[in-house]
Amino acid sequence: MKITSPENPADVEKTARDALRRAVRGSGAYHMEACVRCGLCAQSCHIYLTDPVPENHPAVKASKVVSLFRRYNTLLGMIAPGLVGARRMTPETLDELVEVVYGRCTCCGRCGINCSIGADVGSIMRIGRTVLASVEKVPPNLQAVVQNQLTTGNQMSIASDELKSTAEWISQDLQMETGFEDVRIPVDEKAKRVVYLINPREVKFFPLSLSAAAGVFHAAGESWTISSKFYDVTNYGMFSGHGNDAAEITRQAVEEAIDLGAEEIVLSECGHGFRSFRWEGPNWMGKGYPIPMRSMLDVMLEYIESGRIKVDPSKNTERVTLHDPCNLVRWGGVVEQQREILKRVCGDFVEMTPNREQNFCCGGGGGMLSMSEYGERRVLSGKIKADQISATGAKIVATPCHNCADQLLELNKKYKLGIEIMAVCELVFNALSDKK
Amino acid sequence: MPGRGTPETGRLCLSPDIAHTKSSQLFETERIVALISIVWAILLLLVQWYIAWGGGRIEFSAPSGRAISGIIYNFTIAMLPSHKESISKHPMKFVIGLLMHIGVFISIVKVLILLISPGTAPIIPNFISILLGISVICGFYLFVRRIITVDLRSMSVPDDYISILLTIGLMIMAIAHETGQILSGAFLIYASIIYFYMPLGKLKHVLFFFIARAEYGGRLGYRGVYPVHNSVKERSGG
Repeated sequence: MKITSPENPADVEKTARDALRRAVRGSGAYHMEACVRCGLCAQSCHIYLTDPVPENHPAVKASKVVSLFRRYNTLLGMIAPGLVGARRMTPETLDELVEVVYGRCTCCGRCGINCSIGADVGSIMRIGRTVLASVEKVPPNLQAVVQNQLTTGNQMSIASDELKSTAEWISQDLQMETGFEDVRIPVDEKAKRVVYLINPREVKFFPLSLSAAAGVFHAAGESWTISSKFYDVTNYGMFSGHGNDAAEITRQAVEEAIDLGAEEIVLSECGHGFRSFRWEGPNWMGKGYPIPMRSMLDVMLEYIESGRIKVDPSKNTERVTLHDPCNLVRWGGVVEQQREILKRVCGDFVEMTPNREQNFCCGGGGGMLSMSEYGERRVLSGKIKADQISATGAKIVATPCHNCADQLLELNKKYKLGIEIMAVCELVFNALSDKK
Repeated sequence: MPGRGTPETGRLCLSPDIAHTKSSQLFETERIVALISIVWAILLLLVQWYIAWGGGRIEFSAPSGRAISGIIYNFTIAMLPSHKESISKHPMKFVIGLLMHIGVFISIVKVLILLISPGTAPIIPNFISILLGISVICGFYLFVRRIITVDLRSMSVPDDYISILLTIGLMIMAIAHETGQILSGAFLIYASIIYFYMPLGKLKHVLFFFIARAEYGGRLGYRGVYPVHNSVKERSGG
């Protein structure tokens, strides 16, 4: 598939080379120099395990990026490129890289933590994306999501009025369901302690998740609001590799929260949203945030541990297992919070194997869900996750990520798992002792 | 006094005094070449480290953990077979790779001893020579594996084959020198070739292994991912 726009090859090379030089500084270059191509990472990659061809081997994929690095950043790469497999960045080599870094890797990082050397292959692949983004070679469907975020404030182009009306009817339903007369979703209210960022999919397709969060906030007596302009917790700029786009998406949401007078930003359950806002955002922007930022998982655990909400595990009787989103766990460090919560709100919680930092990607990471051209491979690569789930005998899979939830829904159909996929906050909401 | 570490005199058909003088002069030249190659390797590796660092990355996010804890973890627990699939799923390949690296390490130490103290009696006992032999066999296994395995072949470049052949050669030279088959000078000249090549090809992982592992561990430590506190049983769903 040719995605390139006709440009002067010399300009393409210079732009891409400059982007590469900036991207590898102080981190990526170490990992590119360290990889010895021992090949032992293959068994750690869900894409390779489900389709074991050389093109899917993590080291083969990484070598495509590293070969470009060597051409401009190593002595032998400059004087004897053939000896070290160094390649110039031509429109052709960059086109070839598109499928490698966007279509054959979710940048989940599992191969990296299992690497014999300790080379961060996931970051090498992200650098490949950064290089391609610099010369406008991001797959169009993925870039379209980024454009939505930049132009409308959210990835699904949901208008402010639609958000407000959705918040209104969810509030009414919630009042009836819980018996809490004053429970509601506050929109654009100033000087609340918390501004809550949500995934637009919660507004459009998964209102139960937003409703559950509202119920939990209400039960805890939290002072909170959402913005009708910039409420999107996702950031597809991280997937595309466009650092400037990612920075702008971060900036608009953080500044909106500050304008509303919030003391803290709480991030809805979203793997890449957490990673991009909590860890990458300040670096894209080149400055830290003036207010703290936490995951909803941290907040809910605090509510439970402090007694601000009372939960009854007998209200969730089905067996529940947990899928760890890579960006939240392996890249984000939110590992135990969701487990502590589930142990308290579920009667029968079991881990899948492997878990935590060793979890397998569901296959929907890295923006894969937005790139329909790689859909078949995405679903095939999810077979590992489907097998993990089946082995637990669980009826409910909790996952603190809407991207993962979308992929798991598809895996559920494809592999006939017979499961229900829920956000952690939905299980917490179910377990609230005080609601009717 | 020449010992097994410097077996030159017994191999030259000159009078003992002349032979000793000539071989000493020659050996001195080879020592200087070897020293230059080592300085070259160290300097070039450091220059490449500096270039790769490029002013470094400034971390603007607030920490959740300690970078130093992550670094320590990544050099200790994270390298255990129970925590790394590259070992647990490939135990034999890991052992073979380890044995080869032990042989390379012994050979490098032998070069350094020869440079620092050329007249020293052999400190490498026979069983280590046998270990070197095993390392050579392991090296050949890895070389052949790279040729015949489709996945490995598709990611390999000439440098991969050259690097492994050079290191196998170093170990063979070390054995040959140890058993008196070659002169110290020849061994040093061969070692010099390795040192000259080291910072250019994949052998530079002698430095970047440590830097990459430290940077990765530090980053994950800062984010609170490392150290992982749970037991293997818990992590495997037990």
